[in-house]
Amino acid sequence: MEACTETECAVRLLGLGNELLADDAFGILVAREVERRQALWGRQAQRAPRLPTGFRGRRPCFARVDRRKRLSHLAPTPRAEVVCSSASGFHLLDQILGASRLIVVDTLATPATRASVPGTIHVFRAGAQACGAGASACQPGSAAAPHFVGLFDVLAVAASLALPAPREVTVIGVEAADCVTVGGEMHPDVRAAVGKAAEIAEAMLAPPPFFGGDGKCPARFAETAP
Amino acid sequence: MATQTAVLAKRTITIDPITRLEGHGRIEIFLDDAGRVERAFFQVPELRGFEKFVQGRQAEDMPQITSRICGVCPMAHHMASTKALDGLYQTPPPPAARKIRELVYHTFMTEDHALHFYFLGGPDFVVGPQAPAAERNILGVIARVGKETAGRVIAMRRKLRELVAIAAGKAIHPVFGVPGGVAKALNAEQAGQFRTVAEEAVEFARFSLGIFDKVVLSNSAYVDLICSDAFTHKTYYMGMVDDRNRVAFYDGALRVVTPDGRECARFRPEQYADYIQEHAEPWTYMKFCHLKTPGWNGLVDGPESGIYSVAPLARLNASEGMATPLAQEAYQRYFATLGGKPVHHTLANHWARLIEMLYAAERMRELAADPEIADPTVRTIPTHAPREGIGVVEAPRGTLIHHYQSDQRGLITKATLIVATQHNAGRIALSVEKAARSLISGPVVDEGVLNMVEMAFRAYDPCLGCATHALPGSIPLAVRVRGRDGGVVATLRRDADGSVHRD
Repeated sequence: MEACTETECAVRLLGLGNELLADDAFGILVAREVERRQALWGRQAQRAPRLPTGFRGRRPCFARVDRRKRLSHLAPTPRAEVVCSSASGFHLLDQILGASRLIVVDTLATPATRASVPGTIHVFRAGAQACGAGASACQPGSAAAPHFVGLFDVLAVAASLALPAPREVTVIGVEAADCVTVGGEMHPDVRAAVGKAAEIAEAMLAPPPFFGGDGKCPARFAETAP
Repeated sequence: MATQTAVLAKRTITIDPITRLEGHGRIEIFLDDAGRVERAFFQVPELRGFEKFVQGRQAEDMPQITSRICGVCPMAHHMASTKALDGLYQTPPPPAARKIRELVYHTFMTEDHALHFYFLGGPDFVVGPQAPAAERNILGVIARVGKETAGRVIAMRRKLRELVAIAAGKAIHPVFGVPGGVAKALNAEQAGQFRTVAEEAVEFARFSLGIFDKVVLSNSAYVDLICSDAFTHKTYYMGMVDDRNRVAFYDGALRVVTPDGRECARFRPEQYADYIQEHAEPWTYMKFCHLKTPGWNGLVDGPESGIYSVAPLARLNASEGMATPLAQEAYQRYFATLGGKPVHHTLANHWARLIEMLYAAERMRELAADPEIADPTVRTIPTHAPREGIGVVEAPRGTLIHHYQSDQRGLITKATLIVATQHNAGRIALSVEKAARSLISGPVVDEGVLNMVEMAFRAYDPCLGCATHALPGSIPLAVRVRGRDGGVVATLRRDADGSVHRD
């Protein structure tokens, strides 16, 4: 999949994960599900049913309105893209640059003291400007080693070097049970969360019908602190 | 989980099954009667299930499968795996293919070392170990070296990765390694692109050594830190060398030197099992690699103990020079400054890494200028039935071994991976123990322990399987202190978000 340039890409959905490692396939599965749904909408938009004929076999005049305009809210946003990646560490930089808005889907490990169970979905903002989940969750870490560089470290570097980083980053994360067993099975609750996360992601990608907004995270998906 | 029994200084301690804190490194500290640290073990959650997962798979898929295990260093696994396939099918690659592989590999090493120094190992030096924790991170480094330099690192990195993508198919998961060669030849124009970027990379490597000079070596506090006893261990060292015992990354012999720098073993990588074995301690999940001679003598350093280490520090110790002129100059200066060979200071890894980066860039330049690299013959089709193959490369963090056995159809029957962290496991444990000893007396565990351990840890950069994509912060670590009877007397846990908890 071609990455779009800064001028082309308004919003990117980035599914991060590793399909070999049990629950860590989550981000990739969600991205694929969103792709599948978007393709489905696209096909439906092209095959939209003709309006029935009216009096004397003529179609009502409003039927002559351009079909594309009427159905545009169903089609994928033209400047959105969906990307799957297994990038880790600093290589995440390649995946985040060039989009003005970024939605990341990934597995999370949260401290054991918080009541989290596998399959729980957390949605929160990240980045220099908006950090609604609480400062500590969104600051770059002391990146102890390349294998520990995370999304937030990379965002911080991009921001401090004035690279074309997204101005808004939202994370859709699922609590995972096992991300270290090669060829392991996904936890059933994590697998079940794929559909829900795809729904959330899709809502963020497409502008709401008839309102012409820019697709901010709808209020009904409450942003929970991790 | 069954209870496990440990024999510790003639006492038997029964350890109840412990719930592993997933994603946390774990330190177990055993106190003696007087409340002093008797033993400390560092345990890292490992990738599980690899050897089972690959059984029955096509051997030719292994370079793609193994490169996916780690999201940080896929190229190293891809290359070791490809070489193992050469052995499995008894088909060495033609000269042009070997050169392409070497060129791509040195491009990767240049990039990886640059990244590690500036953004990862860098914080300890460039910002300073006394700096507040909030500054001792990537942003602190950028503030110290300046945005322009940091921007140069990012730009350099992008160019190097674009080159890798040209030759290897993709930067993130290379696809060009096949048994007996590579999948695609390079044309003269592409070789020219490599040459251009290589020139820049050589300049950048020299510039980086200059920064190290200016910021670190000219500051006596840093030099004291590097040479301090807390971060010094006298172990054996292993690294790959060429036929003149100069540091090699792609192919060569494995050479081992004693703690006083004498060669004690030199062997073809295929013979590794005659020289290295794993030792299992009954009370820990982790196995320690050690030399068969002198054998396992516990978690101690010195010539009687078979503990050895790998990575830049070890490679420079185990060699007699660098194969390119500028790197050789830097090599000589390094040993002259640090008091001769071998160097036992773990933190010197960061300096050694820069010297290796310079070598990788110079070698990249040499290979790109070699006319044979544009030769179209880049593959020898295997004709022998596959059986067994061993592929070894020097990954950025140390020796990487892939060992496969297959049936006649080329389906894997057995696969073994030995990664740098396993070679270094013993020495990492020594570092942890030293940190624990110097900072713990009695059941009180200090947060300073975590910081000291982290500094040594950074130099080794162990791989936790890259899967946790954890919420940001430090290494998740759990420290558990046990009294004389093995019962837990104190625990200290730092989670991925940096919060510290005493339980």
